[in-house]
Amino acid sequence: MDGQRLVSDYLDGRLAPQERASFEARLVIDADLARELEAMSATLALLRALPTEAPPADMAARIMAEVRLAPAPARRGSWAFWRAGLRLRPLLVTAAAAAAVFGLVLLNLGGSDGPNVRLSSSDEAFVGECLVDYHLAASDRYKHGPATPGPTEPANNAAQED
Amino acid sequence: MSLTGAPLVEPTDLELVERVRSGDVEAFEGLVHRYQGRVYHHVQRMLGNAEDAEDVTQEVFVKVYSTLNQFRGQASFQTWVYRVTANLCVDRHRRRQRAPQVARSLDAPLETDDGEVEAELPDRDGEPQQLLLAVELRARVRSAMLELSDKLRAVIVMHDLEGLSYEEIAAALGIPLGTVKSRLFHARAALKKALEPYVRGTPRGEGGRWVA
Repeated sequence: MDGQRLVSDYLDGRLAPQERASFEARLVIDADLARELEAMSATLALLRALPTEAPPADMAARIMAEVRLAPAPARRGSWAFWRAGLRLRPLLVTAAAAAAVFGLVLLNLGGSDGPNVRLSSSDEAFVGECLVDYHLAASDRYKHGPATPGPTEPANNAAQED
Repeated sequence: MSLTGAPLVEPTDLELVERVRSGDVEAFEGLVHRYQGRVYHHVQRMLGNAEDAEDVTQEVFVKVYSTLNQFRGQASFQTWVYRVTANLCVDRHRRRQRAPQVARSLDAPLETDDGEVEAELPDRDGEPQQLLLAVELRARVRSAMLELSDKLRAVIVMHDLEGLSYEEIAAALGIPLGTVKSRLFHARAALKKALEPYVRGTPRGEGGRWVA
């Protein structure tokens, strides 16, 4: 460790006992190190001698006058609710997107060029979990009719989850 | 002393914080009294003028109050206050650099009904020349501090002037311990270099002590 860093650590009392002893022994024979220590000590003494003004006597009163006008920090309950809301947000976004796709698919399937297909309840339940697969399954049913089992059937899903 | 004879215990920072969160805005005054001196002095040292010190100190406490819901008690309340203070000091310093305004320096004489007087009269019976040297030296030290970057100045103020440990500084500024140590080293080295003529060449008083 170079001399300047040693001096800095020494002044902060951060040298281990053995390092400190070694540093102090070196001070006796190393004039440059001794000068560095003296210069750094004197610099810090100048810094610490800088006076500061006390805050104005009415500082606290002025602060409180502003604080009373400021918006209050949220109560614990409302903060906890907001924090919980932040955790729920990803799930809510997914559900909202799923509902939007579901609505679009219904509109497409109910159009003049396609059959009026009613989706099974299992398909509706699946919307909230996997948007892409649902959209593909809906396209599949449009092509082949409602009787054809698609990849979104509960039995198939159960197999996939295993 | 309470009515039972037991010594009255002052509420802790966390207790006061909880009271404020529960709607007792007046409990915040206890925190203001506890920390206003520390905040005010820190801002003075960081920004070097009295107007900024007053303005920013008020801003600090309003911000601390408004964002108390974000204080989770994992760090000390002091650390939280220092964090807010450090950020607002940086903001104010940058604004001043972009649009410099006339602000009363801590070294400027005060206007009074009897004319101008020194803002801080040194407590000594020294000769006028020594007083002038002391004033000049003080101004030079302040100037050297303001020449440091915000990052270096914050660390040296917090450690060497306000007595915070490396760990407390790291927590307040959100930086690693090694970075605290490195910045402190560089800040001290820069100050030493800037004040070298004053440390070596300035006439000393009796006993080899500095005039300041």
